[in-house]
Amino acid sequence: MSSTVYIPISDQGFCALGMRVLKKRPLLVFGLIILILMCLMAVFAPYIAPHDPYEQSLENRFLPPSAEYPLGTDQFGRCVLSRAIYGSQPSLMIAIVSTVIVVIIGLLVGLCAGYYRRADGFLMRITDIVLAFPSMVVTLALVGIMGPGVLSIILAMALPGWAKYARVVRSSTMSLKNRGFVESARALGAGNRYILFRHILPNALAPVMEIATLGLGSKIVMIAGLGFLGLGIQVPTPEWGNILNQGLPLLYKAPLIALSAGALIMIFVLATNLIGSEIRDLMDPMSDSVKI
Amino acid sequence: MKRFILLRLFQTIPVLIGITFIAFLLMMVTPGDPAEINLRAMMNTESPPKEAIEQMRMEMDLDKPWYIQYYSWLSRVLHGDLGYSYQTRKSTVEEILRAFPVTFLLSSIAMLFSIIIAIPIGILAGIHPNGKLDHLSRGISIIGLSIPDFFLGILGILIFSITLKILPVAGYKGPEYLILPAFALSISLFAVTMRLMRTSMAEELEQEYITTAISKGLDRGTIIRRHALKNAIVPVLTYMGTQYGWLFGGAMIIESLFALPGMGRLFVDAAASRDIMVMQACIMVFAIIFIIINLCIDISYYLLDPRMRDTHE
Repeated sequence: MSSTVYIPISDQGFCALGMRVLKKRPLLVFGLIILILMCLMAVFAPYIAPHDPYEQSLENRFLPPSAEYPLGTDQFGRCVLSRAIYGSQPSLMIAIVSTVIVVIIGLLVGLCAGYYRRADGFLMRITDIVLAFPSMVVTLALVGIMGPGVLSIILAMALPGWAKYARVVRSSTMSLKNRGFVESARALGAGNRYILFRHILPNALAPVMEIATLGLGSKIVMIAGLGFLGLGIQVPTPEWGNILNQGLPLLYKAPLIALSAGALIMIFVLATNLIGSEIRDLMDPMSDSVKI
Repeated sequence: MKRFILLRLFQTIPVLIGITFIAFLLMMVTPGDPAEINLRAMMNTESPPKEAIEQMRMEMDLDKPWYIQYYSWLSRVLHGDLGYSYQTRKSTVEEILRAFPVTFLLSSIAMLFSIIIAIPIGILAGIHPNGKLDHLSRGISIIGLSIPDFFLGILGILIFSITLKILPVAGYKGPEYLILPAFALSISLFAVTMRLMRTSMAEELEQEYITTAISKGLDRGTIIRRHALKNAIVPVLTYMGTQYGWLFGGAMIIESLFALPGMGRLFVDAAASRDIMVMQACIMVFAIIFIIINLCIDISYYLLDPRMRDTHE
């Protein structure tokens, strides 16, 4: 053993801890900063956006970028930058809510399937069936049936989304339930539910975190995809997908409309990808899975 | 061997039943009367007479409880009767047969892009880890994984169609119309393939048998071509195989963006207008392609890796 003295994290200042993480994992910090900035942008959109995203003026149509309109204006004379900033609100809200829902369902199904052998076969067959469809196909079908709207989009993304999590949680539960600490808890008389939520759940969370951050990014893309197809959040409410859709025929005249929304989606997904792959690295430094 | 394949086939049966049941359920919860839609197409009128609809409902067992409905629907499907499209009044099978080749071609070209561009770059990057090409390819793959395919498609239209005017914007009149959409569709597969090939190659070159080959005096080119590449490319190709289903099922937005008359566009249009039976058929096609691909991969793993055989026999 080396003579290094390990200082418990709580003894260090918050800044020192931050610096240490930054030195070791600059990409993780970078990703987290982008993610936080994006969330702040959505929450404080009314204070950041230079204009009202709904305000139309016919004499200001298709203005080039200027000091007043940093990214110019669209076909109704609305500020492109303000619409892109406001566009983050529905995307982020729906993505976060639906991710929380799929994580909860996936955890419950995975824990039950992994812990109770009797439930396993049945639950995993359902999971297989759900996984047999590409998730975008199911989402589109459900949105088609339920009609566009925030609630139906959240449901349509949550229904096919949980299966991936259930698979992962099930396999970690199966390996955890035979470990020594679980057996000793059982020997001490702990009940099934106590063991599941106090001992197994916390240890099964790490891989879930990884998929959840990556899933946040792919949900943003899916929401934008729905919006782009005209099945997501409806105009005039600004949302990245419907901004892209509206900007498409105007690519000749005002390419910045489509580019602004597309770039923001890309930056967000980049952040979640960085965080996700860094979490995977932290959990398993030896893994040789696809590193970016 | 035979036993494994049979067992694997047997395991897909419950999944197939589940898939057909979900597709059936979709029809139950969607407003619209399948009997009326079928009659509209068969009689070629906007509003078929009430008595005819009633009779059709009886014939299709739509007045019976759900399990009989499911059974009679399933037997119709197995006989190739998937109903008619509400919008076009054509039979669903006809619509699918028209759209399937377009998406098949599109996703195959997308796969080809990854094979002929991403794999060579990955190999070169793996031969010289942390070289210039390695850093470049890492940068490309980070961007490639983060950019939504439809946004890349829009950028492609902006650059190649509007500014440079070398590729058509949208539509489907010839093979050149597939270049831009296939490239956009392949981007995330492209990024992952490149990195996977790089990692696999770099790892293979560190193996002991490579050291042996070097100490025998073989030249580097021969070692890479004859020994390392052969082993390194197997996991990459199997990974790409698993992704084919995603390419096929993920082409919806790209097809709508480029106005390609493929499965994805058919499905999006059907979903947007609640064209039940077309939606149902598309979903089953997507799912069955997924299942077939997974089956092929499992069997090929079994054939390629002798260790798998021991655990199963």
